[in-house]
Amino acid sequence: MKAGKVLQVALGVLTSIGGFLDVGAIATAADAGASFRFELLWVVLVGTICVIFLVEMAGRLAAVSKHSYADAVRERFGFQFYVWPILAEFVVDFLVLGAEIGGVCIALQLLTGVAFQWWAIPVALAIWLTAWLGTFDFIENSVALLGLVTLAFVAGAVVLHPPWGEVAKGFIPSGAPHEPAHYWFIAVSIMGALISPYLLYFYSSGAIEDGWGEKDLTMNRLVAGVGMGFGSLVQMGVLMTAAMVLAPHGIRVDQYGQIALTLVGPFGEWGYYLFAVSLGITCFGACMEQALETGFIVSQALGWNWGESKRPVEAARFTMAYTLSIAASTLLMVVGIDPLKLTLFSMALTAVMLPLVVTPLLVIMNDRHYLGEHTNGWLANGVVGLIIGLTFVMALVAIPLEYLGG
Amino acid sequence: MADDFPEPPENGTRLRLVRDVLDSQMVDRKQCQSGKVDGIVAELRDDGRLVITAIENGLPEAVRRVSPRVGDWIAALGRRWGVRKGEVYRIPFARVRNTGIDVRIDLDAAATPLLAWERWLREHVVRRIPGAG
Amino acid sequence: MRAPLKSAETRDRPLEVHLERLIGRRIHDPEGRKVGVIEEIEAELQDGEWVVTKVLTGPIGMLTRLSSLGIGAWLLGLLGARKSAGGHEIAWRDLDLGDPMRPRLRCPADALGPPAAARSKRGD
Repeated sequence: MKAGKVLQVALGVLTSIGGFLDVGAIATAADAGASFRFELLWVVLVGTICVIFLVEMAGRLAAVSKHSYADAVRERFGFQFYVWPILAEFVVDFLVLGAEIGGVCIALQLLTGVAFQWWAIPVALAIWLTAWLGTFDFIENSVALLGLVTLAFVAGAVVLHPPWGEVAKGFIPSGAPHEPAHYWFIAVSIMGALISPYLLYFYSSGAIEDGWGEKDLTMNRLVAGVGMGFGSLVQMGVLMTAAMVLAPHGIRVDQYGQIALTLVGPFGEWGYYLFAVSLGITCFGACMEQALETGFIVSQALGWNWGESKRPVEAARFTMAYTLSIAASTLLMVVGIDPLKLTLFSMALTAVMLPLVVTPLLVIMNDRHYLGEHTNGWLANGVVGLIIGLTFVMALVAIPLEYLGG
Repeated sequence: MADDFPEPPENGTRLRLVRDVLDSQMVDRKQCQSGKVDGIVAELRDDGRLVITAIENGLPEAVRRVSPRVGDWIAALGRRWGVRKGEVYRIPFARVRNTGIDVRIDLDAAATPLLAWERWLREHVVRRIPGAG
Repeated sequence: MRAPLKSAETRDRPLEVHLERLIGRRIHDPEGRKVGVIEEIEAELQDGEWVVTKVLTGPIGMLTRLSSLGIGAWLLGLLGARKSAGGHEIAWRDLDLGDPMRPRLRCPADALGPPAAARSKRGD
């Protein structure tokens, strides 16, 4: 591999690590660690394996066919089918973007003491300005690289000298040691935070923005496998620090301020600021991706010209779509909806709509019109089939568990 | 016709309309994404043949496939408030070529109602905001 | 047979059919028996005009539309449903579109023969 390509892969891997966490991943991992110590690590591992396969497929589809996942679903399944996952995605995007904006606002509240609602509009303006003036590469690389600060969770977990035997046992799937409804609710929420529909849409759109082709398939595999794999270490770090700092004191996670303690444990007072900065940067990056993703899916569903790398005048409908998305979601924070509750609720809702989003992948990834000789092999098809089965189970249990254990 | 617009296929060529035309991405002479194929119109001739005459683009037509009533309602909203006045735009099928996944159309979309909303938003909203380019 | 004309139309104007609205429509035979659901429509270039030649119904039609005859036939085989999950290829001349929203077969359903079994057709 040439030096330039190696650098490109390295950048892709680093941005995947830095961009892995978002408000959903932090909240669900912290809740998991605080409530069940290391017992839910296996869920993060399973979710990560699923994500690696899904992201690789989304990238392969875009690189070979030059069509995004949203394009392909509409083209193959028709408007009558596609209107339903699209509408569901709008609802989820609206809530998740609100939660991510809330994450940034909470970070600022932790740093300044000013209530999060007051930060909603300034944060929304900052997100919008970055999208308006920035290019796709700038947004992906700068914000995600800044997100490497979240490696503090991995460092924190190591500094606290975890009981490695217990950690290892946590990777073995097990039933609930206590509070089964809450245990499985968090498990489903972790999966909903990891296997997010927006990943398929955003990653495939990003591959087109970056101009990937068949020559980039190896890079795609590396970024998906290595990037997402190492990225999941950060989420495991959140879970482990919560397990060692919050669980021993019986602290349950119902505010972000409690999650800040996970870094105070290993790093003292600096940990508080480190947490706030990590939360702010990671959620800001997620806001960018979520807002752009709304623009992507509307544009691709209706066949508009689109692209974050285009100037706003070159893609007016696309830019208006993400502008309206940011404005609408900001209202959720302006009126003072609790960001943490909104996060956990939207993760459960994501789980409900996953089957609609993931099932078409099995058809599309075997379509030679799109993928030529790069269609799925038996392993990828098997994994997608398993993921589809898993999403159906999650969809059935998510809302009942929300009531029983949420 | 543009120089690089594909020649018509040979007589006897077969086309699967749902797989290869309906909902496909339209790309114009300038390689501009010009919307999706929302409808296909055919004429029943006196000799009993059903001949395809045009493809259509327009949100009301797409939505009518899900619910005719909601589609009509969207068309009514468009007539009242829309830039395209709720109209569905037709492209003669002679100007259409299936090229695998996409559908090429032999026209400049910027000069048609296909990009009416794009033009309106660009001139009335986007250009007025600093940094629009 | 032509559909009843709307008052604004003249008898000289050919009947227009929106083909996308036929997708998902159930076909009945003259005795009212269900034949299948329209999943795909095929056309052929004849003397410079694209002429509709047949409609495809049933799972075969749907799998063809999704370019999934390969994996679809495999899955159906796995479920033991390959033979029963067929479909029909109905020639255009055998369809009556007098009412485009209620397409009817001109002949009894028996005349179509048994549904074609789902066969793997990679590359389609």
